[in-house]
Amino acid sequence: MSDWPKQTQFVGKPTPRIDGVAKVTGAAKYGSDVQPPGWLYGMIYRSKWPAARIKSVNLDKAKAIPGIKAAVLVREGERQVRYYGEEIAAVAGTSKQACLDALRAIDVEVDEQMFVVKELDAIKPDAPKVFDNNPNLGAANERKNGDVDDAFAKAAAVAELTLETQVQIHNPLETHGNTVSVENDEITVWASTQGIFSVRDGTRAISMSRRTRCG
Amino acid sequence: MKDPKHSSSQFQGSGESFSRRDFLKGIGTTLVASAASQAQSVAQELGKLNSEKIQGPGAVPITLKINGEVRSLEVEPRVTLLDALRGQTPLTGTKEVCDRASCGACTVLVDGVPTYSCMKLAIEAQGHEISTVEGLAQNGQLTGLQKAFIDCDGLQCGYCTPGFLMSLTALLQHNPSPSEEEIRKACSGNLCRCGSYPRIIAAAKEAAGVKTQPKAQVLRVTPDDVRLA
Repeated sequence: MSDWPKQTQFVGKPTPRIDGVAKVTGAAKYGSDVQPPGWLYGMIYRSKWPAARIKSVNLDKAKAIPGIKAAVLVREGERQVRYYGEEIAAVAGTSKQACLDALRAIDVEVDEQMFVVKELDAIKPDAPKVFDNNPNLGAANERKNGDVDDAFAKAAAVAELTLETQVQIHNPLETHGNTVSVENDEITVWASTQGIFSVRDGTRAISMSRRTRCG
Repeated sequence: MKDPKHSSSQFQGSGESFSRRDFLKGIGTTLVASAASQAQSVAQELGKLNSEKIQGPGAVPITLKINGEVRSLEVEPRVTLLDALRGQTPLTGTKEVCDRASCGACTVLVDGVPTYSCMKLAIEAQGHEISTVEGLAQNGQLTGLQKAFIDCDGLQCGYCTPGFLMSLTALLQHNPSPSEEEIRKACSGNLCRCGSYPRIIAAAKEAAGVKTQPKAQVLRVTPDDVRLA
């Protein structure tokens, strides 16, 4: 406490946030506001099925939509889909509307499979398995602190409870995503994230693995 | 022009001129009666409306007056005002969040009326005065409301801020001394996920000339502080 300055410059004083003016004037550039001229729009084709076997994906009609410059699969060949929204393909085009049209033009040959949506249904023995080699119920995460038996023996009362809570999702207004520019050896990422160093390191890892694959 | 104070809805979805949609909405009520009384049949009215020029589906040239400036764009008729603003002008201040009239982040003013730009077609916005967050500050001078947002720290991530600013700007233009109820009602169509509501309300009050508590004292948030109208 003796090191605490007698007069602080900012702490304990009203301090306007440094990005206040930018945010109230609309000048603040978020990741999705970065739109260099000539860039294409990209959209992802996502699984409408919580569980399915995808036999084939036909991108021909999507590629023929005016304005579409590319359509790619996430993975070639037959594949398993394990959740609603899983990425199957992506398109790139000169407008959002072209991309929306292209997504609608993607044909998928699919065998829909059984699925459950509640955790307690998922751990029943007859529940459809999400992964072939693993049970639906993951390993328990047990935490103990101190000498539990000793504490229980000394406690006035002991209660055993089963508590459940739903999944909680941090759902901010800003649509998460990254705008990425790749020019020669330089990758610039405009990321909506609090973990800028993680994004940097992750991007480096992806680019290194790409380079390795390309030899 | 609709008087926003007496309008049943603060949000406009269609153009001001009498349209096919307005006509169909009115069928069965006074419109049929008035058409009949003017010796015009329903069929004639529909015939007149159906003779409107059909546009698209490809891109067509339009002009939009945004923040006092006329801009020429080429858009497909299905492009929303939101997409036109963000994709074809440098004005990315207006934000896209839900794109389905649920959150208010895309709020702009159309002839002074808060409007979800995701629910208005760009082609319909022609002939109207469109105001976005970029048009609030004049000659580098922030409005009282913008200053109040900074003073009261009525923002965190800032993504909902443009929408709130437009809704509250319209309120203060029509009602310079709103009650707290009126403030809450005015931005009841704007969501904030960071939870800045108490400070946003405080900013609106400060802009209206009501003394508010400094931020450090608004720490005990009650359900009243965060409820919407």
